Amino acid sequence: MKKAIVISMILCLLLSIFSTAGCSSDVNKQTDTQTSAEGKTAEPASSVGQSTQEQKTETPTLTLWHYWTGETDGNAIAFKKVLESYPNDNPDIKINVSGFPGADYTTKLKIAFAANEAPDIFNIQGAGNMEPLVTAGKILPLNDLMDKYQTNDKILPGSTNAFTFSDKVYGLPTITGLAIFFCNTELFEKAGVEIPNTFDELLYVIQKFNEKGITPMMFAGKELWPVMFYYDILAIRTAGSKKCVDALQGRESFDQPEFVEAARLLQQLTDAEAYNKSDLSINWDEGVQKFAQGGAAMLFNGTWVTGIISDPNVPVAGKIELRAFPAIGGQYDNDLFGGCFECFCISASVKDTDTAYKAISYLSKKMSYESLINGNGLPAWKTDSSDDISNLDPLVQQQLNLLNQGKDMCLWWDTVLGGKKADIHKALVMKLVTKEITPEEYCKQMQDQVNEQ
Amino acid sequence: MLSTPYEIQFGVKLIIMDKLLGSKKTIAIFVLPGVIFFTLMIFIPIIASVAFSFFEWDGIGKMQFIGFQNFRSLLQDNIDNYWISVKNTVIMALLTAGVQLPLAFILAVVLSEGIKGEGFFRTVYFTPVVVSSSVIGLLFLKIYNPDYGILNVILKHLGLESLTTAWLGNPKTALAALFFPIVWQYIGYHMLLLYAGIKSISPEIFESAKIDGAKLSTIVRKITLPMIAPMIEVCLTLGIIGSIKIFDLSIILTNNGEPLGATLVQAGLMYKQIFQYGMYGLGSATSILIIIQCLLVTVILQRIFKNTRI
Repeated sequence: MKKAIVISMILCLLLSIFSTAGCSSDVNKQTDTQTSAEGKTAEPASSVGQSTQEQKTETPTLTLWHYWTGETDGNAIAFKKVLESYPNDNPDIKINVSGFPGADYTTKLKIAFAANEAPDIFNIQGAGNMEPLVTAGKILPLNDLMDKYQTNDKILPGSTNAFTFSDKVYGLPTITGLAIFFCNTELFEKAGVEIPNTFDELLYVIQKFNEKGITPMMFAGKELWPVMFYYDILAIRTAGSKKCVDALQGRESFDQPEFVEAARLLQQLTDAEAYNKSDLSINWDEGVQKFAQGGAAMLFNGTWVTGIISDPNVPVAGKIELRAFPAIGGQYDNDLFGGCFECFCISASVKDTDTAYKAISYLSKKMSYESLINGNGLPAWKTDSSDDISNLDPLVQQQLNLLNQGKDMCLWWDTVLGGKKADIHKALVMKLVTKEITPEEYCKQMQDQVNEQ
Repeated sequence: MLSTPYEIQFGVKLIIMDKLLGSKKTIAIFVLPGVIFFTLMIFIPIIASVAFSFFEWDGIGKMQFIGFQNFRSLLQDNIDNYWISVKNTVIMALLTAGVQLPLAFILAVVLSEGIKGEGFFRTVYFTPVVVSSSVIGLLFLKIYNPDYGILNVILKHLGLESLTTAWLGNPKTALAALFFPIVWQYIGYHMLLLYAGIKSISPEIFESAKIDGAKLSTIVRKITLPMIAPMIEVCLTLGIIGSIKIFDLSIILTNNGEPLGATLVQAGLMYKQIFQYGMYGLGSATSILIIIQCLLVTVILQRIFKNTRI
């Protein structure tokens, strides 16, 4: 009796399992029949039909991953246009596109590579972010292909710096980002001062703004990097781009007078009450919105701000002037903070590298162009006859001029340092701004914790 | 004797249930799907984490075995400010045991006394538990906003302008500002558990106590508390384990540890190490320490409450 019950229960269980399995196999059958039906319609066709079928299988298909997702993000809007024009311009190479939001994108890539399910081509942020993938040999070096297709003549010099590891280039650049000094001319008129060209003038206008009760500068500090921008540009002014790059890559020491001087200048801004202390706790979005509402007179941030303040519905639209960060009177006053840090790469496992290279050159160049038109970034590729740049937004034109005036460039420090070192640098700058540490302590700690690790 | 068809049917059912539950094989078969799911989704990842914690690994390159070095760097060298995150966990656990649960208990007692609108208040206090953490995070971001946040606005109108501050940006107030919503959010949860516990005590006991002239305070102390001790143990365990695992509100409110690491919590540190620093071994070690703490808390609380069981 007992056995019978147990057996009947097991049978019931098995039955239920098979019945569900049966359902799924039915579904399979359905799709099978669908494909075979298609196959049948193709089969009776003449040799012409067969040959088109063969051609179809010949068209190489590449999988593409990217993180430019979203509806309002400037980069995403530009990339959408790129993808829309892709099939027309490249009928011979198909791409399967998957987009993933930015935060966990690199982790996702790592997991995909570990499971051998990586995309053929993908975009990624350079320097510290892509280094683990490069050292693990997952990304294809592009030097030979770049020579073969003479790409070096078409891209801007220095634009592959963030994707170069031991003299091998691993990615094609897309957009050049540039840090810009945004000035609200309306507030400057209100305070009766001119836009500062030197650091001393900057300190003077800060005083004037404070007398009028206007917040002089926007230091949105919750995510730390917007505040980091102020130290980094000051260090580029005192030490020069080259020395900064060398120090960031461990070839120079941070414990040098130039870096101490930059830290001292930053603390002068704190002493002059250049920013609203409570702004240090708001995040970047809020900070930019506040600036766009006319809540502060000056902001030093990246090219991406242009897209936000050029929106005609924003109160400051048409009142913003783009300048280079005030000079300190040294020899590096024309050095720029920024560069290209996003690129397209080819997975090392791709066999038909020529096809993949054609695809990423198209995507990179087109992205470079569309971003310029859209105003979310400066190009990393030289514009040629196929690009129409006659109707550029005046703000974008101002950015282009700033870029052309620049002598040398130093990329975002947090991108160059990557991961933990970037975090330490940003935290130290924050401590410097809030005067928890002295300029000397800052440089010593940068040297101990970032450079010598 | 079974006589009517219904009784016979019912009896047969009982016999079948008895037989089924008596057979180990059937139990095993029915438990199997759950066990497989649990093993694949929870048990194996924990084992894998334990394994990873002995390696130095960036997630893609070669794994290098380094023994207990990850644990040593966390516990001895205080790498990535590990001990600050532990200190914050302890503060949160104390707040849970010392503020959250007593408040929840008071609410539960008051509600179970049968006040007017019992059901309404029960729902009101439980609402924050139902609302998603990200919504609560955004809500409090607005409340704490230094410019237009309601907290600073109220303080200004009361003439307490000297007290206004950037609540989440000031290292002195950030931790309190982060923990307040967490305490507030889960009061309703514990209240409901304790309320259910009090309601399950037979009302005759309370009645006879009242007839004997016992005051409410005496009743609470001598009857309610001992009778719902098992429920208090559950609440304490859940609360303290919850405070070890805080993550979501820390990410939303203080960007995972800002300002300057003052509000760092352990789960946030683990996330940082794995996904921002790319140090899978170290992050796994942090996660193992979190699991160990959770297990320890459970065991210790079980020991403490062993004698109170009736």
